[in-house]
Amino acid sequence: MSETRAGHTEAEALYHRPAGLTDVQMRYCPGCTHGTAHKLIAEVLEELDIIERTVAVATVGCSVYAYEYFNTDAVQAAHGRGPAVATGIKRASPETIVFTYQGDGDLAAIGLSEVIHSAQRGEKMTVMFINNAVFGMTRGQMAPTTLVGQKTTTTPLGRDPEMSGMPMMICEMLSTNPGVAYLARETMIDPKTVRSAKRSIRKAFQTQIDGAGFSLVELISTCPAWWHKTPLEAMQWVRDEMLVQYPLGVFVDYDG
Amino acid sequence: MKKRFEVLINGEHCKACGVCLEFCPQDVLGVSEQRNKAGFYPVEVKKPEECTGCGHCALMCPDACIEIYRVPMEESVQS
Repeated sequence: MSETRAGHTEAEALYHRPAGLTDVQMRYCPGCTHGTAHKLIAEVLEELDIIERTVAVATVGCSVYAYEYFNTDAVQAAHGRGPAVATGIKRASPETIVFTYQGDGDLAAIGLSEVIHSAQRGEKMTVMFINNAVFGMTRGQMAPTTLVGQKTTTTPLGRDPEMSGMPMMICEMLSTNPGVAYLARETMIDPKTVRSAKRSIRKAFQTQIDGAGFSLVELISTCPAWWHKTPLEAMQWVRDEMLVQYPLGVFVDYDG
Repeated sequence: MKKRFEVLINGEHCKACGVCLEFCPQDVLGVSEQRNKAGFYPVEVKKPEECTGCGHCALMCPDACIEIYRVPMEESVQS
């Protein structure tokens, strides 16, 4: 892509649509940070020059159409089985860069054992974990990551810890696992956090290129539709509520 | 004032979430009066000469609709 839509050269671009994305319009709700996450991953794939040898594994959830948006090869896995499919791809073709793109309903609920065992085996793959505290695709039911007191369609009075337990902290849980080489939690609610999220995503893919082990980035995302908020209110809610429960940071880093 | 940056917005992909409007420090962007095919009133560039090229709008746009280019020196003098 040497020349862009308006006839500008690549060198004049301060920002252009990343080559890792196709020209398909994403079907996410307005303001949903799924799109931001896709964009950051696509930018990293372009910058590391690995688009041609990457396989994306989309799973079930709002991200089910990810194979249409990423300009890479892609596989659609069964619900929660992304890390298992990715393991197969990586072992059959070790030169391939493979990443899964999973929501919290997929990774933390039905697919929890897959991700823990993949981390346990130290599979050389990257997991993008989108945590928005609800099952977005099926209209906002309680997920394992739903906050205490948060109202969802299945917890109309708010999540009760007596009844459904406390929110699941995936990063804290995996951080003690010896197979994990890179583990970080990021969000995408202002320019600073978006830049920081991109750095972590880049590091996660670099971990896989270096063959250091399993890497996972948890991205605290918004779900304006099922939180019943505007996109900006949802970002404020992440800042005020989600980040209290889910502190940001790098939990494991293999080279320091 | 000379136009130093060109902000291109893909109005057909824009879903009018308004995130770029919030994060633009120069109020370069505004909302169109025409609907796009999906039925949204997309964001458009209202004051291109105010743009400082910070890129916050493009960074925050969840649909990757916004592209920013530096206008070459001679062109910016003519305009």
